Amino acid sequence: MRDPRINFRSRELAAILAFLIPGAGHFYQGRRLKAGIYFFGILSLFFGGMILGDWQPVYSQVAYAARPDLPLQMQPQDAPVSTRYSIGYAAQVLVGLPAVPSLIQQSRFSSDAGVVNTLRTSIHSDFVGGFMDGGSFIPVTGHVTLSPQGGGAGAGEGQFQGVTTRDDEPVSVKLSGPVKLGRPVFGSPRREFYMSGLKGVAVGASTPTALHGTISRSFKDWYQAPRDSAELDRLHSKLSQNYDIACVFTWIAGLLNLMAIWDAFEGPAYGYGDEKPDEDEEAGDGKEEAVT
Amino acid sequence: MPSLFYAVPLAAVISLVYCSTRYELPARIYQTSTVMFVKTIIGLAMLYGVLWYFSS
Repeated sequence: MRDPRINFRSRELAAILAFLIPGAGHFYQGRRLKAGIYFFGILSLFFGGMILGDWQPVYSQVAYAARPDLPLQMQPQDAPVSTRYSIGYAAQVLVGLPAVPSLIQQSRFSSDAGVVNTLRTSIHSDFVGGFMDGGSFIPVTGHVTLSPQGGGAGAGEGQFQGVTTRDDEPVSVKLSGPVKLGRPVFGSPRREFYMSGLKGVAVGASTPTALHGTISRSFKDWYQAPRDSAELDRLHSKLSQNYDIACVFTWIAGLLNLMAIWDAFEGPAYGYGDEKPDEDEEAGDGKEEAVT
Repeated sequence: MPSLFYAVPLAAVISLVYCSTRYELPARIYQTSTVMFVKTIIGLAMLYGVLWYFSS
């Protein structure tokens, strides 16, 4: 039974507010202490988990490639990816607005056409990958700058500046050729980058014809977006058990908010807190003691 | 920081939020959540001790 000393105002509205922002429903009801406890407690757990997990423990879907010979980011439009819902998200979404970007990203991901074969805008990004020279691979890191090439379908021109990762040899080469980029929206901060048809490029004694690797993806395109199992493997490899702990933090934050929503709607589960123990309870305890 | 210590803030938040959903009176919330937190940490420490004993 609801305690008459608590002013619930509109219980439905309070529950909705409590769902959207932890503590907001209680703030609306004038229960300021509880509002503070829920707001800071639940959100610190949720965002603590986000920081611990490199801002990547929350996602609504895991995607699977239709063509296993290509990375998921490079799947063409005629090989649509399949997805399944993340069970953990059922708990995370209970935190409300902080977990809503997953649903927006899910929608953007599903309307995405897949691999990008046409360079439409300029690229200025760090690069991790390597030059391909026949069967050999020369790993490099650096910075790539590309602009759409006039008249060429999807081609780009620009330059790469960086170093070889094996022996720190500086590399500065002009690039020109067809470019393929990974799908725009994907749950990884790194975006696949393939450039082929390179001519006149010299890296040490090699004359590579292709550049394969990854460039950075903007935060709005990877935050809480669906990802594949390879990206999850990368996160586990990078963060080890911290990634699992981060997921647990965000799950528990959502489950705690479920109890807070119920508290806004129906009041505290055990009563106001100043009740005396029930007589039946006391008698029951006495009987138990007598039996034992 | 060893991963084990992440249990401390986790137990603190769970205790405080859970007990807040059980009672309305601040004093009762603080009292029950403190007891729950201490019991949880003692329980986890005992579990850790048992696992450590059997694994050493």
